[in-house]
Amino acid sequence: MEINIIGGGWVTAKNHGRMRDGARPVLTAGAPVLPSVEDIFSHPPARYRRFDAYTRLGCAAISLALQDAGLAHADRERPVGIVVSSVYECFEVDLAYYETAGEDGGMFASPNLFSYTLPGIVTGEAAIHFKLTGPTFTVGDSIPGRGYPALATSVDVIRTGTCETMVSGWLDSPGDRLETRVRGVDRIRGAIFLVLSSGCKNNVLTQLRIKDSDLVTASGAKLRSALDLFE
Amino acid sequence: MKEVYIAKSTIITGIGDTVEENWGRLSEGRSAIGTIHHFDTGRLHYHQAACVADLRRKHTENHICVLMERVLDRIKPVPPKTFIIWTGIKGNAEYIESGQKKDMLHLPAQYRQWVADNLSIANNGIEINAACAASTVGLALGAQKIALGKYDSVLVCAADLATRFVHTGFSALKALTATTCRPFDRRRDGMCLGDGAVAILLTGSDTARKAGSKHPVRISGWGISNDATHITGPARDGRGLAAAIQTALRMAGIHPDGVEAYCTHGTGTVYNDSMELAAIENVFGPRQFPVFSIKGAIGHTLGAAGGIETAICRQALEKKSVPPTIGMENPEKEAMGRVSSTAQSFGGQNILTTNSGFGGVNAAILLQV
Repeated sequence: MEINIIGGGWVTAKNHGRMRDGARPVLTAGAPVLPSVEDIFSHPPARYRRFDAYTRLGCAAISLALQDAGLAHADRERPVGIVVSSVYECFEVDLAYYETAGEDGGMFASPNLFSYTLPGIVTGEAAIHFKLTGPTFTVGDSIPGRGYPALATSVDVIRTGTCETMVSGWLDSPGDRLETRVRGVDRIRGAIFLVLSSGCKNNVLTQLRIKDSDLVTASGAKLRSALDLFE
Repeated sequence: MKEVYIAKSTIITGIGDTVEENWGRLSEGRSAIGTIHHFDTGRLHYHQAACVADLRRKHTENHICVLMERVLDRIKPVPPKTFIIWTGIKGNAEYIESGQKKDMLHLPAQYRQWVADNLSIANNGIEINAACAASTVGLALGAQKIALGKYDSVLVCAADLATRFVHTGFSALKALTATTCRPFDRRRDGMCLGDGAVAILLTGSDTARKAGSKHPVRISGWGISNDATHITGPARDGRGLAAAIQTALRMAGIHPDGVEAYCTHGTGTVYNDSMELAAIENVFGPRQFPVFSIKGAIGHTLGAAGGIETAICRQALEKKSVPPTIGMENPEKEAMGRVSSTAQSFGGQNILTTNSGFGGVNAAILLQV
């Protein structure tokens, strides 16, 4: 079976871009350089400025991927799913939230920050903004994996026939709190998303194939991370 | 696609240490909801949760592992090539509460490794977070692995606790009840948190047959959707949940009239329960059939909720009966004739269970004998 890749987008500390433009993501430590709001949204999500850094980064990269696939605009809801894989998920905002709950017996805990203490909130914000009603969830990632678990799971979802188009990739945004308080945190921050489809045959950028239960790229190499699709 | 069976299931909640104990106490109408003692709630409006009573809490200990160890002890042995899916959603809460000073597990991948070590099997698997639908989504993805022929056994496991982290958060959102948890009651005013852990072993038909289960229960369909409406509130018309249910029904090849009983998310919040009743009307029309929630007895166990409810549904199929919805006294109009404060019998052939969570996620699973 072949799965078409019809779009890709990324934001890292070094660059941001769309797959169709020919560049590829470069991973380095440091704060991601977010594109301007005008570059990534025709109109930004209503709460975009209130998003935590993880959610803002994820929505920006998802937007670039959907733009690349020609799916960023829609008048009605669409059965497109989103799967995000992440090592640290929303740990940074967890720490920020608990700072607000620490004093006065928790009576001034921040409801807004608490709302973002689940890693799937980014999928919810993107689903609302882009009117996507397919399956949404997050998957644990590993440092070398960077998106592989999300891509592999999305391919399985497509294979079962329950959803034919999935936005899928890697998102990590460890911040200063996490880096100073938790030992051994990887400092690479960024987000890379691909749009996978079994139904859309137009504007295909590359393909994923299933070979002996492995995912392989168009060149026949075994897929190890989302970066491999930008070869 | 290959058939998927539930080979074994074990749970711990505030009302019992086994599926059978939970079933018995649910049937008796007992609830574990009581005053929280393990952290100070004095300055909050909400003081209750459904805690595991004998969990002797120390500030230095990871109590998710304490609960999981008890659950895993009862599911052993599992096949050595089992794929592990960890679906606990707030495993870093105790670590954060302790000031990150203790040598505690705090990443989902660490919990999966811990489960693999505890079972003495290879650490092969994934961690899933889908908010309060996490273990339901985990079961769907585990079933997907077996259905596609990628694995013959998958262990879906989760534990979550009524921690200070989570309690203060839901308190800030005013989602908790200051009285008692009353799913589908006209006077419902919020949910209660609960401690819970679950492990469910899914297998292909060959393994299930070899295990010689007396009551083989099959996962015949599943569906996952997003409301695309709000991150902390459900779509009022229940269309997202209805879509997940309809996907599961299509996969199972069952007409809505064929669903005999339904275990809801049933948190006891005003908006969740209204949304679920709207989804029921949407999918099943005016038909009256047994619908229930167990959160008035065990509280909301977050990522573990869907797995625990699936284990209870498996028991319900065997008993051909659903337990009472504890806490409900005066049902909403659309709940009348469906939700009951007493046990209800049904045909025992199939049952639907669903969960919904923050971020707009909905997940549905159909179980069939």
